[in-house]
Amino acid sequence: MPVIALPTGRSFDSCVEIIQGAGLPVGRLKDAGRNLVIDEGEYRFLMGKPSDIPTLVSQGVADLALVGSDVTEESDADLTELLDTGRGRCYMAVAGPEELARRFSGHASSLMGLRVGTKYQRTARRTFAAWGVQIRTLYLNGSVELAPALGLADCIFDIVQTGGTLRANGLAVIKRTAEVSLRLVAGFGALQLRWGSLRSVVEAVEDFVSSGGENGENAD
Amino acid sequence: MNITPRGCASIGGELARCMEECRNKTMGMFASYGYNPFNPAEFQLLEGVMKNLPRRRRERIISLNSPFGDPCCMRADITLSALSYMALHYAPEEFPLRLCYADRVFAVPRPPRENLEDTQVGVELLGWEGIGSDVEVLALLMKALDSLGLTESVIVLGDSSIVPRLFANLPGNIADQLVERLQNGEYSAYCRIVNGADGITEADREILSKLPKLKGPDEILDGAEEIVGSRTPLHSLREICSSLEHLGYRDRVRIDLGFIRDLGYYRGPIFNVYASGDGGFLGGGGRYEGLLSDVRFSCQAVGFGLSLRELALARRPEARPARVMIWSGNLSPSESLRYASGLAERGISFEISWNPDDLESRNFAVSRGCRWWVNLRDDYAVDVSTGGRTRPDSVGGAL
Repeated sequence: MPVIALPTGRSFDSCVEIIQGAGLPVGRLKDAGRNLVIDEGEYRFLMGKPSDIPTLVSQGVADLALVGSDVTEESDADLTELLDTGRGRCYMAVAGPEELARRFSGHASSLMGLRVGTKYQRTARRTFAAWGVQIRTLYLNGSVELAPALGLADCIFDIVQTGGTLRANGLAVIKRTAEVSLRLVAGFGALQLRWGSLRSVVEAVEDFVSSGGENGENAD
Repeated sequence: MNITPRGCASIGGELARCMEECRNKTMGMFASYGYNPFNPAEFQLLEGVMKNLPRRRRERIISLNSPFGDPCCMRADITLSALSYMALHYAPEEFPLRLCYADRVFAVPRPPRENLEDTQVGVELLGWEGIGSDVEVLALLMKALDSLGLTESVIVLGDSSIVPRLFANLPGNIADQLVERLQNGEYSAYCRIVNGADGITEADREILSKLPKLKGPDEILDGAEEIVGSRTPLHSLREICSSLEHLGYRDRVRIDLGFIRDLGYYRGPIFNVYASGDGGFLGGGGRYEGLLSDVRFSCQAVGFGLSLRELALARRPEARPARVMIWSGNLSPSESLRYASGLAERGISFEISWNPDDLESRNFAVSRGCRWWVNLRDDYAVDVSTGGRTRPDSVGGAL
């Protein structure tokens, strides 16, 4: 039985839409309630917090998963990314007060030691390191936009959809760093051992996505 | 209270017992196939490791300075140790060499794993080219797994020479990007490059886009021949599969033609090993060549390494208590030990109770899960589950 992990939260509906578009049964999935394991026909769906999905897949508990690329990048888990679904689009960005933008347009040395509030600590360190900048990160798992106003951080590193929350807190996007979307991922072992039973699912999702899907959407 | 650093583990109990059993059975099997035990040094010189390991593995080594000032790392790769040993101790005319080992390797793990160390058991067949050595090593691997009762284990075969051949006509930078994407498991990025990059012919695009999907039972080699066969011969894999089939392992072999691991380190057939078709990763191996040129020999080698812990876990270790508890009361300790020696000679596990109180000793036998409690002072043995009595010297027969 192929096991597919799906993230709860804001991208869950997009995931169900993809699963449905690929022709897999979703009757019970749409009414999941608090169930974390749902068997639909010949498939088993596991619902987990987005940050847990890479673990479920890399540890072989799930064969496939839909998960945001922000989450896979941050997890650094051993995953195989099969497909960019193009759904749930948003982007990773450095955001902060307008005046901070001047420092970003200058020499990288002016950014050394920057205090960055984020829940994406690994990705933030990696991103700034690629610019030659060593930062201090402050882990915040919500209300990250408050950090600059409270003096906890100079800027934040987060995903941005519409930018509405940033504006409401007096922040602006300073640097857009990576595009984010829902990806279809698999564990390497699952692909090597069970490709025969996973292939049809992967290709059905691929067909649905490449056709634009009945309800194609773009969060931006 | 933490008694070991984060990422390290002291293993005891049934898992340790099961690991030891796996070590003994596999090393015994390797020895019977002519593989000589090899005990590698715990530290490796950093220079050799940095020069020979691929980048992805270099990033995960645990480096340190030895007390004598040598830049070192904790042993990151036993194959490199085996090669150094070979260079120092053998001449080319003594080839081929067969080594086996059961020892620790150290690396910074990928999340969510935290283990900094793992004990591997494996073999290296050095200095013999051709399919014979690949088949020998793979057959030995399967025999070793069988000896552990892992008769549903599966090997997934690839060939690391396929990708370089298929990419040979591509512009260098595109080929490098594609290799990087495949090695990192970024198939969607791989497909974007294949479909979008300039300098790739339509025929190549078609072949390259199908490559990551060429996985499955060995029948896929027929279809794969039509897709990639004109660019890269698949006869090595066919021959290996055919040999394994003749040895009765056909159902336990899968093919993955898009499988590349540490390109530049491995050349030729490579493989992963899983506990079952649904199961956990046990280890892997393959054929390598470039590593040996560093140690003044120009030849190939093939080997594998399996995680002893994963092997033990795949066997589902169960509690196996001592079968006999020996109590001698106020008799001389030598009475207990003489009786114990007799049990040991017959392969019967036991534990000696020095408790002066016979009732406490018998209860202890029950709590330990022993089948028999032997009272040497009064010369009888009790089946602790039924209460049935017999003579101490009959315990072996009753077991």
